[in-house]
Amino acid sequence: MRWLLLPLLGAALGCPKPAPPADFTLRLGVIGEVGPVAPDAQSGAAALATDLVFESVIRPVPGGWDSRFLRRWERLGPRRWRLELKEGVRFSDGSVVGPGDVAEAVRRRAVRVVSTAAAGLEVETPAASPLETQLALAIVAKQVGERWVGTGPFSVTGQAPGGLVLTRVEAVPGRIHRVELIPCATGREALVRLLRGELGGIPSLDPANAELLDGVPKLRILRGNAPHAIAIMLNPRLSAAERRALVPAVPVAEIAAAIRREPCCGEGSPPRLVPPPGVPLRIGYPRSLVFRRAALALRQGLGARGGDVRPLGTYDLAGWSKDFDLLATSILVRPPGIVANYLRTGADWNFTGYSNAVYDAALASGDEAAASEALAEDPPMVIVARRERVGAVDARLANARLGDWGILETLPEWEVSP
Amino acid sequence: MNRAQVAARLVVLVALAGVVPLLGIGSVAVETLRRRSEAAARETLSLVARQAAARIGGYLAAQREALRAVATAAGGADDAELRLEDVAIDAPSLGRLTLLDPGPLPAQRPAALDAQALDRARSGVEVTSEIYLDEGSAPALDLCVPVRSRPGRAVCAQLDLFELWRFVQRIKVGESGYALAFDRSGGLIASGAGALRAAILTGEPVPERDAALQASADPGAAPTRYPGPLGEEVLAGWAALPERGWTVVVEQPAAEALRAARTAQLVLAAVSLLALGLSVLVGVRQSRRVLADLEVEERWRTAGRIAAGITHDLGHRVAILQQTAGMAETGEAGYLPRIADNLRSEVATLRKFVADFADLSRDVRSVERLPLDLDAFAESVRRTAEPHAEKLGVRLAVQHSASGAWVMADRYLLERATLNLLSNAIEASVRGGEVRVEVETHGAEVGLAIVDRGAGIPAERLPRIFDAFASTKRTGAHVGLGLPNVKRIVEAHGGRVTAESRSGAGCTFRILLEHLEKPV
Repeated sequence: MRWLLLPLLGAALGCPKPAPPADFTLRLGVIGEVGPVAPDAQSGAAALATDLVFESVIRPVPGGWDSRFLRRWERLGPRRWRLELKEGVRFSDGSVVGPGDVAEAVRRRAVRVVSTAAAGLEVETPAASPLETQLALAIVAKQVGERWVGTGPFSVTGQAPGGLVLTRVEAVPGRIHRVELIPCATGREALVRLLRGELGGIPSLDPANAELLDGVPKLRILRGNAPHAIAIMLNPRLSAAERRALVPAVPVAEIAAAIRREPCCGEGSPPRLVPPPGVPLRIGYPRSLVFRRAALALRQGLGARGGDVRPLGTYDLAGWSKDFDLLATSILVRPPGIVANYLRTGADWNFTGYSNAVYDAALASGDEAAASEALAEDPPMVIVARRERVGAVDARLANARLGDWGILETLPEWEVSP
Repeated sequence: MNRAQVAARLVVLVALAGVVPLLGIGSVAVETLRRRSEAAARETLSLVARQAAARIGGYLAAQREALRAVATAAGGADDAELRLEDVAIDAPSLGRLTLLDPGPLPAQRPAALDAQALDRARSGVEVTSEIYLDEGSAPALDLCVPVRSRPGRAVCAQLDLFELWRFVQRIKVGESGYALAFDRSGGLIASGAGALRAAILTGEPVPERDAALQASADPGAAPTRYPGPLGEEVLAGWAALPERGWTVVVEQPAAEALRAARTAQLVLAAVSLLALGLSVLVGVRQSRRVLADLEVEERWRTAGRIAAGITHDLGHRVAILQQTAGMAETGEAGYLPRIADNLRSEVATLRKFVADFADLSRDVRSVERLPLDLDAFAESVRRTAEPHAEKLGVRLAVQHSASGAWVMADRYLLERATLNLLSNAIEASVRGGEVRVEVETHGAEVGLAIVDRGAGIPAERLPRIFDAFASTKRTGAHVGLGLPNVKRIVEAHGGRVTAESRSGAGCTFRILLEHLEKPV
């Protein structure tokens, strides 16, 4: 009988395993227009394309930073840094990345380049703050004619109002070879096209819409953290003592549940202190349903201290401190250290007017522990929860996940199943 | 029929006898099983649909009840708006809550209810919109309930119907059964089938739309078997939510729902094939064994019959030769003419014996057939038989065909067969009688009829006339191999031979062969 099994075994071993398509194209729906792909693109298909076409000088990785361009960097003084360059990195057109290209990248982040040499650069930040945040946002790119060339794994091979085509610079077996970014007028149009199979994914979905994709064969819903968090900003006009007392009274779990449109809260919720007595606190929020729900939950959680809840007149965050005591809003928390851009005295994004000399000094000296201590002593805000990113892609992309900085930053590693 | 054909026929008989009843009973059983399975599957689907409809109706009723409670508890308060905002946080499924006062309608009011409907709500009537998609493509339904304690006031909610989507999408029947929900106009509002969900967003009709409209009026009237969204046949069970005009259908691919019956059919087919195979195997073996035994027995019987015939006929010849030898021993010259006659006659008879046995031993399976004109052939045969007929005082006549008669034949073998019949006819005729050779056409066949006016063959002997050793002429000059040889030769040509006789009115033997168009 056993000899009968041998041919079957042979046939099974002889059967070729199904191979993934060699020329896999992923068509992604993007809400908005197709703009020119440039390192400073902020929205639409072009912003997504930057994740694949360009690379920043350094990038956050678990436990620290990594860089394709720098061997190392060191602090020379409160604002002065030396960057030691790696060699051999090339742009997608084959040209070598030189010290001038890195210098240009950091210049675009308002970092002054003191000197440029083949081995490295000396740079000076505009304030006594960590350089890493600026380097993480500094994109290495070169303008060739009217287009920008990057060092990322993809390059732009087609750009038209009907879509943007990115093709892998060097083909990698079993990975996505081409990405088409297809503009859609509305989220509903993108969903319809995805459900009809005209698209292979939508990288950014309204979490509520993901309900409609649940259980659809050939699609996989991706969930991940956005680089933003919902935060309750405390008006610096309130005394430090009052802000310290308010921090443990902010109903973090309730706000998080309200954002998710879920009832709150289970028995495992952390205990929350009662806010100190005082006049009701006026709560503002940028005009959006999510922030409104956060603001309402905040008012409810503050009990008698919860006051008026009103939207900001415009998205002018700088003016909020005149009319409100608390603000439910969203801030960037990735890459690490970027929060300093909201809190350092005079920083670009410091719309609250918060100023803490101890904190500034700790930043200047690079003492993270001291900076945290200074913030605890004079708290400027309460971070509630990271915002969620939801997307959906072709189920054949086995290990697809959304990046927590660039939404498509992990796409080059997505494996295509047969 | 040769041995292999007999064996095959036996095998077929055995197989049919074994398998046909099994197939018959099995088919009836499987069809009964299939029908019952289908009825049970439809009932199950219908039950699931009714449960789903009840659950959806219950959810909507609970939301309505919750809104009534909110209106009662918070709607009458002076700080009702503030309280409603808190409720919106505690009860997210109620969505955005709006307070309607007797004054002008607020800017932020339910999107799917017009001013008249909102006025009705403020005048004390509960109003509900149809289901719709809000600006974020979320399913919603506007509901307003009056505040009883404050006439002119009403509380409205934009009910979040994600729960409807979740619930319908969660329904699974078997491996791939799913549920769909339709609104009053037959539009799809929730779908467990991913392939149809785009229609929820676009509002385009799905194939089940007409059935949904039927089911809305009477769930029992809606079809329960039709092509599904992916083209495969589905079974369906319908239920309605009369208060909303919505319908719910639960569909399952028929192939999956009836898999048990299908499996039974396959098992039956496999068992039948197995039984058939076994029957054929056993039948072949047994038939071969039985036929081999029969053949051995038949050989011995044939040998016995040949021996009996030869013993009888040659015994007669030996007696005559012994008598002739006695006459020769007397040395009388007067016996010489008789002795010569006897020897000539016996030699001729023995030659005929030899010829018959030679014919018997000749292989007629590989005849070499060429076009042959039967009219000319009949003349030729007549000429050959003429001396024998004249000797016996019998006249031979040939009747030609009207329009020519051609066949494909081995001339030598056909001549042997025809001469055999003709010789028999001559010998059966009385002196002065006539034997006719008639060339006939019978549709697609042509034939040679050998007609005599002799004594004929008794009716009881006719059926066995072509069997070996069954000669009617027990004169000692025939071993009974002539007619069997004729039959063998004619059948080897793909034709047939017949015999007709009436006692005292002679015989007619016909050789019938396929007609051949005259060669050009």
